[in-house]
Amino acid sequence: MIPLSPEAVLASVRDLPPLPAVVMELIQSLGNEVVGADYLAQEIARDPALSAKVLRLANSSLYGMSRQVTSISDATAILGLRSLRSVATAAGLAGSFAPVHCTGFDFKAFWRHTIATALCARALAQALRANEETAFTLGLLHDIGRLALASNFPEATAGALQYQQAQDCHGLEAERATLGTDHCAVGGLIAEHWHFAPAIVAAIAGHHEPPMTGAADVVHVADNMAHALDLSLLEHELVPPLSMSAWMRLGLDEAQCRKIFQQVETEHEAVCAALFM
Amino acid sequence: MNTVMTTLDGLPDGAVLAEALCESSGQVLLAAGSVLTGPVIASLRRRGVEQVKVNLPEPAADLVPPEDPQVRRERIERRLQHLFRLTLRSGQIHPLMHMLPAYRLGEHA
Repeated sequence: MIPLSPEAVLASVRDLPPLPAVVMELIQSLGNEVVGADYLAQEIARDPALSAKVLRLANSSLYGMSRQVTSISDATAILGLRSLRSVATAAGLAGSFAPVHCTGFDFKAFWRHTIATALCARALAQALRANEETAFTLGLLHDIGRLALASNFPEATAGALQYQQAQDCHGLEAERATLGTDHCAVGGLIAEHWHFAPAIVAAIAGHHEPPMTGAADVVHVADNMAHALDLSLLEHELVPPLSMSAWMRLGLDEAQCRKIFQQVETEHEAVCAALFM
Repeated sequence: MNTVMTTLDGLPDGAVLAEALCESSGQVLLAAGSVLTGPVIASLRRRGVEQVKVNLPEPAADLVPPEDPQVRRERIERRLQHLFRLTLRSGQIHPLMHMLPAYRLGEHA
C-alpha cells in the first residue's frame, strides 16, 4: 500500500465542503459568546434542514421539555444560548456530511460513536466543572479526520480498515502502517484550515495521545468511554489504549464515572434519533 | 394483531376495540382503537351491545423468563473482554475495564 503524500492530504483538506457559516462561527467563537441569541436564532431559521434538526434535538428527551418546542425563537428562549449553541453545532455537523462510500467504513456507526463521545465529553466536563459546550463540540469533531480520509481517499482507507481487521489492531496503528498518516493528524489539519482556536486544534490532533492540556484530556477519556460503553453497535468494537497520565490529571472517581455512564446511555439513543431520523 | 369476540361481562378495563362498533343504521358508536374503560362498557350495555371484538394483549414482558444470572454475567464478561482485548493483550492498566463489569451487572462498590 502506497502512503498518502502530505500534499494530497493537504489538498483534500482544502477541498472539504464548508460547514454552514453559522456553525463555523459557533465553533470559532467557542469560549467567548460573541454570537448572540437573536443572531443565532435568525441564522438557524434561514436554513430549513438545520432548523429541523435543531427542533428535533430540542424536543428530544435530552432536554426533557414539558411542552413542544415549535420555533427556533422558542428553542432559544427555552434552551438558553449555551445549549442552543451545542445543539446547532451538532445539527450542523450531522447535516454537512453525506454518507461515505468506502468499503468497511460504517457511516452510521461513525456517527453513533461521535455522538457518544460528545455526550461523554459533556458529562465529564460537567463533573469537572469545565466548559461543557467546548467539550461537547470537541467530542463532535474529534474523529473528523476519519470522515475526511474515508471521503477523500476511499480506496486507501478501505485498505487501512482491512489491515485493522486482519491485525485486529487499533485504527491509528493501521492508518500509520498503510496511509503514512492518521485521522488525528488529518483532523488537526482540518481544524487549522477552518481557523479553530489552537486549543481546539491541539485537542483534535492529540485525542489519542493527549499533550498536557485540559481539553485534550477530556476528549481522550471521553473517546475511551464511548468505545467502552459499546454504543456504536459494531461487532468488532475495540477500546483504544488509555493515557494514564490524562486519566490521573482528570482525577475522576468511580461514582462520578458510573453517573456519567448512566447519563450518556440514557441520552444517546434520543440524540441519534433526533439527528439522523 | 390477534383479536377475539367476547361478551362485555368480564372484559378487562382498558381492552382495545379491534373493529368499529356500529348501530343498525350504520352510524359509528365507537371507533376501532377505542379503549374500553368501565364507563364506556357501561354505556355500551345501556345501548344493548352484548359482544365486542377486542385486540388480544401482547404477552406480558414478565411472562418471558428472565435470563439466568450466571448466563447473563458470562455474556457481559465475554463482551467486555472482547472490547478490552487490546488492553488485555498489552497487560496495561485500564480503569474502565475494572469499573464496567460492576456497572453492567448492577453491582456497586
